[in-house]
Amino acid sequence: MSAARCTHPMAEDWADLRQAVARYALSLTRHRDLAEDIAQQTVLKAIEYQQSNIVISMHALAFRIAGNLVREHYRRQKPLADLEAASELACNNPLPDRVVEDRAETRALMQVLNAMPPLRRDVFMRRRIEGQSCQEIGRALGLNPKAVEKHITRALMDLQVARQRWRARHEEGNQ
Amino acid sequence: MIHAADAETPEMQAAYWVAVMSEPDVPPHVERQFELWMSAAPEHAGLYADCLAAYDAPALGKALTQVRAQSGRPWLPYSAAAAAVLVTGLIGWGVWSLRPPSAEPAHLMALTTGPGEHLSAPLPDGTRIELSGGTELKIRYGTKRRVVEMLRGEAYFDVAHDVARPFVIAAHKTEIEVVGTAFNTDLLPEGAEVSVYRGHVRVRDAGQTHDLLAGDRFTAAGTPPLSHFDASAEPDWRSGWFEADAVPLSRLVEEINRFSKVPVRLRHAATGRVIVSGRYHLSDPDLVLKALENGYDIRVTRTGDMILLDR
Repeated sequence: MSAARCTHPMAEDWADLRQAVARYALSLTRHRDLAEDIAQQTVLKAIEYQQSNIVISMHALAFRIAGNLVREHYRRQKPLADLEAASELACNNPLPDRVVEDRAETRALMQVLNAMPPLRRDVFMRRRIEGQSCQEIGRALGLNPKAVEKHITRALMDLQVARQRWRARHEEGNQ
Repeated sequence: MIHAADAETPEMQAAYWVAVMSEPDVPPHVERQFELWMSAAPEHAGLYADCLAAYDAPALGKALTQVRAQSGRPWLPYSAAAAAVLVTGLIGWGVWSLRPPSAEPAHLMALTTGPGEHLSAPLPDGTRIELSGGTELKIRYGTKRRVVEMLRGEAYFDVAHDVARPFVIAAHKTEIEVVGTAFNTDLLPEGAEVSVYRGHVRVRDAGQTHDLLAGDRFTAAGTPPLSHFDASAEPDWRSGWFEADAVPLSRLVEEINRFSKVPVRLRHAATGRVIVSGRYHLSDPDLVLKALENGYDIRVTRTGDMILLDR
């Protein structure tokens, strides 16, 4: 029974997965309908994918699909960033206060990055911007891969805490 | 600040898994452990979702690029020639940021190297391009896409990740799309050769799409088009060497010409089909020609303005 569950998740598993993906998409887009839509599409794509492929981690697959869908959404949105197009297609576009909001979030994250030990910042940049592996980063900076992993984990913790705090404060301000 | 004592909070575990799962290649047994952790407690999936969103947030990408730009410290040790290009690039960037964001193309730059020259060009987004000799690139940074048109030569790209602006290289009929990676593009007369050193690259050529990972090499019109190479070593030309593994002489001549101040030509096309192997020190073209004379009975004739090869 449990083996069958691994390869063919039950309805409630899909619901849990969908909920986790929606939480991820909402955190990124701050748009409830869009997040639900992305979660829905993700589950459909994941179901389709697992019919012809062996899936080791359904969660890993789902978050990968969701990440691509969010990126695709941003990509489609970007060209419309000028004001004329924005007035015509207002519903699809970032509102001016949303742009200000994004800048404030960027500034909050910059503060965290600036407060980090330079080595940790360097490690994290290599991963997030250059997509380097722990092995590669370790080789470049003279660290062992485990230490690199620890730096990335801590950098993420700091950034995540700051982002949550910033979002909470911001949502308070909006109400 | 995180202390060792609370290192094992579920939040910290979630951060650890985001760190692990953002590796360019996750081995299956690690992915299995990740799935086990995810299903071990109902709150894990949500915590992971939050932390992954923090990692993927576009605001973080922007914050990192700005912090890097502020630090004023070059990302990698650059040569003197590259510093000049960095200045040009930054002026262009400044002008761009004053203009409305819709202005497209936003950032234009042409990079050219003569024979024997080698140029390392850092771009304002953190991307670094290294040009081998005899290379010409046109760079167009727009709001939607970062496009590099490769007109001739060979270049090594270390591309900065930017989900909102894909990085695309057009080399003759081959289109190469990148997401945060390092690879080498060699424009041969028959088309492009793409070698991926890191990350993931998508190549479109002759109506076909190929997904390349580190160690994969695509050769346009090659039979077969896909092959493997050792991605842990840097491209040969960056060190001035060329490792010929049973290649036609015409290919080696192509490489020599990126370094030789006097153009090297094949008198007859048939000479170009001679198969050569060996490690050639391209930054000393005379030495390479001597090696060809001795090893492959190639006759080297120096005229006033070129070097002719035949046998």
